[in-house]
Amino acid sequence: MRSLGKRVILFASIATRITDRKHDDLLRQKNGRGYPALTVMDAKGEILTRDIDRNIAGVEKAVQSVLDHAWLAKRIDAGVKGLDVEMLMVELRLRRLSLKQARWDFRRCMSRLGDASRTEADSLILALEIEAWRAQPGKDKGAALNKGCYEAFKFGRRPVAGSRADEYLFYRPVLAGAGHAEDLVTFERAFQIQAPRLQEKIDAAKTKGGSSYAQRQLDALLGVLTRLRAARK
Amino acid sequence: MHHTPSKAILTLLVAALAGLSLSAQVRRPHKTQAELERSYADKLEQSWFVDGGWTDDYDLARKRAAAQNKFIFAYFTRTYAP
Repeated sequence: MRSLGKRVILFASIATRITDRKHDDLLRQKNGRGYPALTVMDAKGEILTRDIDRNIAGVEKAVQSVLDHAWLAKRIDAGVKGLDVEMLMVELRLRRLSLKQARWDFRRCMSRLGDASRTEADSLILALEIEAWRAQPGKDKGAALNKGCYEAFKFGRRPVAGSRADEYLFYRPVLAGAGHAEDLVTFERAFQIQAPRLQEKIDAAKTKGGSSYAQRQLDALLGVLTRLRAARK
Repeated sequence: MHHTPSKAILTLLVAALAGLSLSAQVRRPHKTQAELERSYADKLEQSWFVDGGWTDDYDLARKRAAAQNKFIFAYFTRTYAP
């Protein structure tokens, strides 16, 4: 954090519920979703990036992307051409684009993206798609999320490794979608990724002496796996 | 005869809301202003805040950002719940 403090101003918005305390409810004023949250703002207090992954790499990446964005914007304003691909990648990393805009810009820049950038851009767009599926109302939400993630996984699409989408949002619906579609092959492939993660959580809960929600999740997945394997025979 | 179940439904609704309110009170006891002040003071004494060079003053953060031509990295947290 010390090196980060040289590049940015470190501000902790501490909500206290103390009556009449100035800016006590800042997160809500900034349309934040819940505590704890990390973001980068400009000197006017305008939010520049949302949903920063809550790990060192995520923070470093977000801060660097904000600095890159400012630098690119200055050069574009100065009339430098041909920076649209770089700008697309930075704006995707900052989650500043709507899904529609991101898809459109991605198609427009596709031929000029290298393999690594293309994979990263697709992963970042997948995270936007996941958010869109999760935003579906009522019953449609679960179905859209499961189907979308399942199909994305089948086509080899993956969220950015270590991102929030990767760790919390993607694999559960992939497995639910594969189970629903009775697709043993896809289910097994996703299970091989998800099971060790759940086991890690189970072990961590055990060391604290508690039971784990992850254990119930793993048991349920094993149940589906057994059912799908039996159906295949 | 026109039968309306509205009274029964209203009674059930009030009972349910009372139950919800009661359970909320059981789960999260109301803190006094003095307790909230103490929790806030405790937070400001934590090492990540003291040693990390953070400020919790929004106006000051914006002023520093403008003066030093820097962005603000904001961490939103709270004192009244984990």
